Amino acid sequence: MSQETLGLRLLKRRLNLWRWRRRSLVFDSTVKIGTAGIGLALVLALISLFVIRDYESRRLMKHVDDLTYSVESTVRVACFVNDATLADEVVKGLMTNRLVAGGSIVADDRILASARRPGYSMDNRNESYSHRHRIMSPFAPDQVIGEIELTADADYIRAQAVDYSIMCAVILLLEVIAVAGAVAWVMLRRVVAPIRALSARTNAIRIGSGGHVVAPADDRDNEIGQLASDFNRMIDSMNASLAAEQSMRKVIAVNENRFRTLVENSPDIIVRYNTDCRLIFANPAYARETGFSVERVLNKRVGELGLWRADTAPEEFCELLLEVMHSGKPGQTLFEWCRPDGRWVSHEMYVVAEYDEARAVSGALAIGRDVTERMAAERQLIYQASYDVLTNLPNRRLFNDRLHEEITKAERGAYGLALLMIDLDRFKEVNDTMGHAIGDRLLIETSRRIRACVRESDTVARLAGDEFVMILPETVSYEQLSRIAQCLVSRMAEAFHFDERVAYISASIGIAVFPGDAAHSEGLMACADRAMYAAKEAGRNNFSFFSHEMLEQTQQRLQLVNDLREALSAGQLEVHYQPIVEIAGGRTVKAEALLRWRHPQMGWVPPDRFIPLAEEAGLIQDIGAWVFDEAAKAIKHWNAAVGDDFRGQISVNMSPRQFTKGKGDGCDMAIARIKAHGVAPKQIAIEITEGLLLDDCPDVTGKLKRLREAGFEISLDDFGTGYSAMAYLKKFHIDYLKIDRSFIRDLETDPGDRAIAEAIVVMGHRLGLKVIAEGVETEVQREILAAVGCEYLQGYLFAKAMAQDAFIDFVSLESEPVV
Amino acid sequence: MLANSYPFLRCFLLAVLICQPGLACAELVVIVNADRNVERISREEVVNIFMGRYRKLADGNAALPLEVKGNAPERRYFYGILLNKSLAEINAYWARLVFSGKTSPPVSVVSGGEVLEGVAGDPAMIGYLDSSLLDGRVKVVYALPEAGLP
Repeated sequence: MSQETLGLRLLKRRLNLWRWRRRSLVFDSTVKIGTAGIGLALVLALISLFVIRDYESRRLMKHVDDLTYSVESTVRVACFVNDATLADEVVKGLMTNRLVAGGSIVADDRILASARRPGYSMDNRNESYSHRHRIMSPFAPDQVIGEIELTADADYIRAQAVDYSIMCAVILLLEVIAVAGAVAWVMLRRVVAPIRALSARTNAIRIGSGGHVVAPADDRDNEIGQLASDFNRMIDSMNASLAAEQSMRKVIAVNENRFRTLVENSPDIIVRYNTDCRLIFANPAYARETGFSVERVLNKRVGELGLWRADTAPEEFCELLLEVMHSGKPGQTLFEWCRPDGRWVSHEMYVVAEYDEARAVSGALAIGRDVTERMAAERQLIYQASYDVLTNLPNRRLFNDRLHEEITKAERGAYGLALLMIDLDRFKEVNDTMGHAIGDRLLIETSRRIRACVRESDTVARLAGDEFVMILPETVSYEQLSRIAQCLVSRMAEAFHFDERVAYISASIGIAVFPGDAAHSEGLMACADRAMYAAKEAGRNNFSFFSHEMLEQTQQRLQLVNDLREALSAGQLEVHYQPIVEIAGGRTVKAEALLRWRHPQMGWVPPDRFIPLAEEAGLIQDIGAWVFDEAAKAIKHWNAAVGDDFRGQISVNMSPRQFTKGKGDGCDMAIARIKAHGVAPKQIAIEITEGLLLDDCPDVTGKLKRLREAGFEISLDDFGTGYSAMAYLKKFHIDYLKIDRSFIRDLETDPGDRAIAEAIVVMGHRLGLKVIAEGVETEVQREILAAVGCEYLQGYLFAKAMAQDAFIDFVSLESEPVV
Repeated sequence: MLANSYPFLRCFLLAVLICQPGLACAELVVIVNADRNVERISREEVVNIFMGRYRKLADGNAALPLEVKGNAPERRYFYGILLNKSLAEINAYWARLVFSGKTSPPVSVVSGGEVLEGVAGDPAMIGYLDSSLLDGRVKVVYALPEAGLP
């Protein structure tokens, strides 16, 4: 090793040592003990300086005093014999002591000897520096024979005392410093060095490595050793804590990971807000649903991002958060926002308060589930519950609400409103002939035309198939209403073009006015309905205002219905029979059963007036069954009256209502009763109208088929007045066609009617049907019909409808052989 | 010093002294020349004269003390009775004064007879002796108290 390197190393060591010492306990302690010791020594020295000086002064003074005792016996002798020489010797002897500044011996008032230190001024002598003693006779202790006076050298004594005290102080100082040094050395050797050794060993220990501190050999059993074992206990405890914490951390990490994956993969939005309503956490679903990155939304307050729909105020959500945080009760709300891609989404937010370890509210957690589809479905449901899907007009339900609403408004505002009931004429025909698709398009177009005639604020609703209604608030002027109604009627009468096809319909409109016609919605509806029927009765394609005459008619109708309910049991109904004559033999082979009502007050009520009422009131089933029974009975009578080989036939009208499903099914009724009566089914013909065939009831075909299979014959009434579609004749199994009386009436004069009658007969024959002509009143008509080949005739020409007894008489008479 | 400190011992010692043969029934007296015009002197005067304080009597004439020398019983007896001091103390006392030379101790003679003779022969002289030796030439001016008295 070179010289320089060694020097450098030594220098470094010294520097290190110095640096160490600056932070060393022993250095620190030494400095402190030294400083304190020196300070204490200085203080003590200072104190001792004065104390010792004073003490020393007093001691020396006493010493001077004591000197007199040492020479007392000699002085006694000298005084006794007045020996100046001896006294002088004594004084000189005393003066040899440096402490004495002067002395004198007096005997019997004569100065025997006196001396004074040269240069010592006796002027400044003080009583305390002079010691006077009486001298007694050596032979008589109580006899004073002289006096000795000694004066201490005060300056000298003071100087001596000071010197002595300084010396003491210096010694004290040195002692203290020496003790401090010794203490420091001992501390260095016995405390600091072991601590440093321990520190170095402790420093080398790594927690978790299993190492322990070993105390220096000499210090195993003392405090250092205790410290080392304390360290070891601490290390053990730390190792245990570390192991526990590591395992806990693992558990926490696993749990954390579980929850994190749960939260991150949740399809629901999970957002955490702090107590300031600022977003402090958002899961990936939030970013996905809102389109905002989590970083962008962090620390933003609710509503700062501007993704709210106007009617869901962010303040409300904020209030909900605060309310939940305040009350601790979970809250729920629905909010809708616009995604960045422009799609509106709905989220049902469930909000719960969150708490910290101290059970204080730390924020709120909002969990949002995407309910966009559900909301859409709900809206759709609500829409469908209130709107007609086809025309997008309000349906009956919504219309009722609107009507109530408008009436309430009108009542409050003291203004009127009008209700227009619109029924499309001939819509059914269009639907049947042109198909449902066209029918639907027609309805859509109709709704468009209706809407075009009214204001935006007016309500137009579709109540049923071809029935529309509109509410015109604040409209009471008849002129105004007439104009609107006329507009509607005209627009409806215009041609509807569907691709290449054209359809024509018309509208019948009934108008009722609030509060003039009725004071509540049901009454108003009834009034409008009545007016609409009036318009229909008046020939359709027009409109009618409700009038009180209509009301009266309605009331009459109601009265009639009520009476009709009683009529059957009261025996007011009767079945009359009109003979049907076979052209070939001129004999009555059939009869039509016709219902008659003898009203107690009104007399005979025409069937076309009460049959519809019976249909509406649901009485037709019972009446129909009764008629059937009557007809069956009549057949039995007829059979009995005319003999064995002839079997006449009675045709019974069956209302379309009797073909509707459910209670009182006419088909079942007829099949059951014909057996009960024991009458051959062939003797009963079921008469139906074209209307029944037009009804889009799938059962009709089956029912007619069942009736035919049961043995009944089917007769189609009023043929020629309706659509008279040939397809029906083929589709349904019909036995007879009855030409409507309107064609027969002008048969003689109108060649067209004759042509129609002829065509019907020809067509019927071609289809294998027999034809019955109704309303035959003249011989000419009979001849014409006979000429075209019509099989049966019915009319006044032969007989009117008769009661059963009269009819039986009529046929009995006819069957008797002509004499 | 010893006698001062231990009075009972001192008394005992004195009793021993007094009971010695030759002095058994004797009495020490201070004498002067019969011609002197002095009849009686006080103990103080005896002490002052013998211890060198002054050498005069009340009549104004000198009084030179005379005594037997050495350790003569009279001498020991005299200082013992008079001053309650031992001869060593008396000798030490005189040693200090001899040093200055100003005062001299009493003139020493060989015997009591010589003391008698000295006093008888010189009126300035004063001495002490056993009363048994008295004669007409001298007169007793002071009698020392009996032994046993302080």
